[in-house]
Amino acid sequence: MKRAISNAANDFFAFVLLLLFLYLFFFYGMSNIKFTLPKEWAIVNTMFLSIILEAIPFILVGVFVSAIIQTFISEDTLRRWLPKNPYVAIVSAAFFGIIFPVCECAIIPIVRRLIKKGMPPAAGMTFLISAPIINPVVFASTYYAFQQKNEIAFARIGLAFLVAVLVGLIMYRLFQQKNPLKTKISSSHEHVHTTNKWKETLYHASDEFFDTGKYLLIGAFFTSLLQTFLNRNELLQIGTNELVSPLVMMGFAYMLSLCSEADAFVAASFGHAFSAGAILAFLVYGAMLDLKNTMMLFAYFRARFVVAFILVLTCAVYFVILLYQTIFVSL
Amino acid sequence: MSNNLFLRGVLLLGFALLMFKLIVTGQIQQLIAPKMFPFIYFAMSVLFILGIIQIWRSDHKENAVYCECGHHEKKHPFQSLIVSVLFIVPVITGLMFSSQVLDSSVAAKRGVQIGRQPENNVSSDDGTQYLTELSQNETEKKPIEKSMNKKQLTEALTSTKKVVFTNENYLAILEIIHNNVKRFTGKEIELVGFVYREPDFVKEKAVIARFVVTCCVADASVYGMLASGEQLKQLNNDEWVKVTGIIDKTNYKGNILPCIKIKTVKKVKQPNEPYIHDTAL
Repeated sequence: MKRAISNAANDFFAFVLLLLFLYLFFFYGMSNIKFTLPKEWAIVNTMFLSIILEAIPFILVGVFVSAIIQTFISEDTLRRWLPKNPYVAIVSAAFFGIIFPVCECAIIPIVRRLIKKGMPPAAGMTFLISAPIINPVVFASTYYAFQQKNEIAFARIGLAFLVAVLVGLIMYRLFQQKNPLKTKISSSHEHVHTTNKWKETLYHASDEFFDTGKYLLIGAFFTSLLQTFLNRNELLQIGTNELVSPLVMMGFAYMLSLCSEADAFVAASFGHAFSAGAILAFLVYGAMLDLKNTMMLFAYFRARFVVAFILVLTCAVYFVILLYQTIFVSL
Repeated sequence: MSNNLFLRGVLLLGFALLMFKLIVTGQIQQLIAPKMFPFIYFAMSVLFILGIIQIWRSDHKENAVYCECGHHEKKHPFQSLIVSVLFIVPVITGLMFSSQVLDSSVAAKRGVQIGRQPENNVSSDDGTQYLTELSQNETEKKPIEKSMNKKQLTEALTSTKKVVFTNENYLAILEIIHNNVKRFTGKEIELVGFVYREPDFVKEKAVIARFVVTCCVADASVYGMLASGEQLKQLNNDEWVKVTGIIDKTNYKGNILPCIKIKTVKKVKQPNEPYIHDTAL
């Protein structure tokens, strides 16, 4: 009885909401009544909308691929495709992005689904951080943004590969085959409820859109605040030193949460202020991890696992960048 | 679960409506670069279809999916309210508040790139070498077209008397001029942009700047050209102007940069496409 009432209340709420949306859509702006925001908040709103509109298509791609894997690929099939040896699996996972050019928004639901289906978690994390960089689209945009200095594009791919494999191996040593997900890994997942597989895919996709979407929205909101209020000149002045500047740039990339396709253009606009090492730190770290997708990671993975992953990834990127600087600067 | 399905359907429809309205009113241009529009069309159609399906599904309880795929944990009502609000807010603010075109307050926080300088000297040497060869051959005049590559553009620019910036070639022209300051000194120039001054600028000096957007306004960066002249005195930051003048050299923070010696300044309306989009990809 109580449930029925709350259901009715919810339905009523949803119905009112629908009317409100339709009213705003058709009539708002026609009349003279118009609300405006103070300018800075109007910019926050613009940034926020722009980030979510940009991300939604890719989240949708991610949840659809995930839903299709869920519905059409069985655990056994996946197991047959993946290399048996965990080390081989980790190294080959670093190349999946070449076939599967997905960005950092779309990759998280896909990897989560693959791990649920029995992919070794370490290989999953390698795929998660390599796909947004080791893929043809991102290579092309980086190459274009750094036309004058195209070794950046090659170095970005190379360093990303090293980091991805390194992180995969360390995560394997730390967690072995332990389930990193919040939900159970299914051994034999049988779908008895619907007969129509396409319908099922659609249902899964829209459910997952909400699961992922809420974290995207929170992340996008904080990002839009930083995008509006953070003074970049001051931040960029903190570190021009070889050891500090990669760290500053990693932090900067984390906060900006740019798409891996667009970040190269922003990095190129920093111009002379930074060394190649610092620019690469920005390009490698930012595409693998940022504010927006940290939220999404916490949605799907156990907190301990995420924290360990972030620490390992951060150290790995920093280490690899320092290595790059020692080798190439001394040459 | 039926109630949630109905609500979710409404939210999905809300996002589809938001996208549709932004596209119809053209406001989408102030949020996303045109090359990403196909993705927005795709997302809008998918969200619309999903929304309709969700609402339809809410009426057929037997269709509710119960499986271990991790979506269907029971949530506290308060928690699900927060989640709904998260999705409702962007739809409402998006429909209600028109988007703000980025201005000099944002430019100041991001830093303005004066010109587009090469990362190292090697390539700029190549450029000058190429240009000297070119001047020896004295090519015939070529009109500046939209679909030129950088080499053709350089050729066309060196043979014209007057350099006119277009939306399509804005960044390329800026780069070419900054790489070949000597070659371009003395040429006439015309460009449209907004007035931006660094805090330490005198009133007769400004940067005529544009925002360049690659994918969405979050990745916007600001590029512009130095300008100086008495006529700038009466202009404030963020005013859109059409500037004509002669290219000159100046020393700015230890670099030799081109600078526009202003002949005329005309206030213009903010262009319909306020942002430059890097179209080459």
